[in-house]
Amino acid sequence: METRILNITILVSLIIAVIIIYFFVSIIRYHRRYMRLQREKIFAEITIRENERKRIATDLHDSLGPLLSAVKLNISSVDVLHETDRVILSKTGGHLDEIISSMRRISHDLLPNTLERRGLLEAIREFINQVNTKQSVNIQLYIVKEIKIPKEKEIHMFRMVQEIVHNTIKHAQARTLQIGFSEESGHLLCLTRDDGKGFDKEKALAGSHGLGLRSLESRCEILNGILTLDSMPGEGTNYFIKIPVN
Amino acid sequence: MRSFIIFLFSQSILLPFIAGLVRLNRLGRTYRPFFTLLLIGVLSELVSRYLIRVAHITNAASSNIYALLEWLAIAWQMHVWGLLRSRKTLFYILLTGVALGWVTENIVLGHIREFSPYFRFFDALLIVLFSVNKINFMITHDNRNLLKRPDFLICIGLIIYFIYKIIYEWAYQASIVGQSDITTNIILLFGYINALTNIIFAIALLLIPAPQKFTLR
Repeated sequence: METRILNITILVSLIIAVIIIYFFVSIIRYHRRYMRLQREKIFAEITIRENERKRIATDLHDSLGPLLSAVKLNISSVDVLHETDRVILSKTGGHLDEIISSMRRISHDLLPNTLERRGLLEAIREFINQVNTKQSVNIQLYIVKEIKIPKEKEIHMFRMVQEIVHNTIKHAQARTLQIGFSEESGHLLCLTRDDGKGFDKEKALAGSHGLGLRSLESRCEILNGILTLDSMPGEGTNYFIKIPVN
Repeated sequence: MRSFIIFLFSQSILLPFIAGLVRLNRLGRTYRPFFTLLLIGVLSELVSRYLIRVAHITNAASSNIYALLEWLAIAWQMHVWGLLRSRKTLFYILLTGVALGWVTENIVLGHIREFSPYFRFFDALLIVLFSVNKINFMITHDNRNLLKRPDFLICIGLIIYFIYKIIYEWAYQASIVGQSDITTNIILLFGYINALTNIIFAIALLLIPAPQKFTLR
């Protein structure tokens, strides 16, 4: 009888152990599945957004651009006799120039042609040059080692650099921003450093600034990369990005 | 007073049963097996009461039959909620395999008139594993408030009840050899656990939402 009780006790202990082990295994399994689903969802959202931007940029550049140029050409070729009409046509030509210029800028911001034609590093160089002419922040680009990254990853890396530069201009009150690129063991390394006011990362994630940071994290996740943010109030902000490129 | 409390706890199955009757039009396919389980529970309680109080014989046989029906109803409920939905053959093999275990223990080995624990251990283990699986699925796939989901509450109730039942069965078997304070307390506490579980089930049934009507009118 006592042997039976001992056997039942061992059986009960085994059953409870199985339940506990199964609970942990099951929750880990479902958590992994959940993370995979979340990643796929983010990837789909970002891809759709980039495709939409590309479509709009292409439509602006290929459809509206030539039409507006044709309109300007037609206006320029109109003979006018009265001075007032000439002034009006000249103003209209000026407005059209502004529209064409704005449209090119919008199209370029949506999807830079340089990225498509000459690759990531050239696109970043061009972007930084444009920012340096308009903003007070002095952005310095260092390319320690040229590296080719797959075409489908270039746009995400470009957007991340754009986001970092915009964040620095909007929030950091920095005088200098340094961006460095290098390569190590099949990984693209990007380090940025500014001498701005820095921020509390936890508070930023909770507030509206958190959207930009989350966007950076999402893109980094899509690229299977690692994003490290180092910032403290009064001590500037450093970003470190490591992306596999093989 | 104590016997009155025990009597009340034994009738606590009526709470979820009445809640189910109130929500009968909302049960649908999704919760029908669970309501069937409650109905079987009420009938089993009545039969047990009759056998003990009127016929003065053990209710072991009716209890064993109830254990089998309980397993079938809960497995069916889990299947409706998604367990092995895409692998029906495997589900039926599992269902019949466990039922065959019951047949072996109770009919072939002739333990139907005893409170034999082995089937109860095994089906309790499986029910807890199914419930844990369902809860983990809900945690990782659902963005809504889980505490307002009837299936979540039912699974919590099943986990509490059947884990305690495993311990209770051990205590019952140990008390056959020789009673001790621990085994006595575990057996007495089972009534409270049963009542708590029935209250959870009643709340779960009352939380079943009204079915959505989709119409172009």
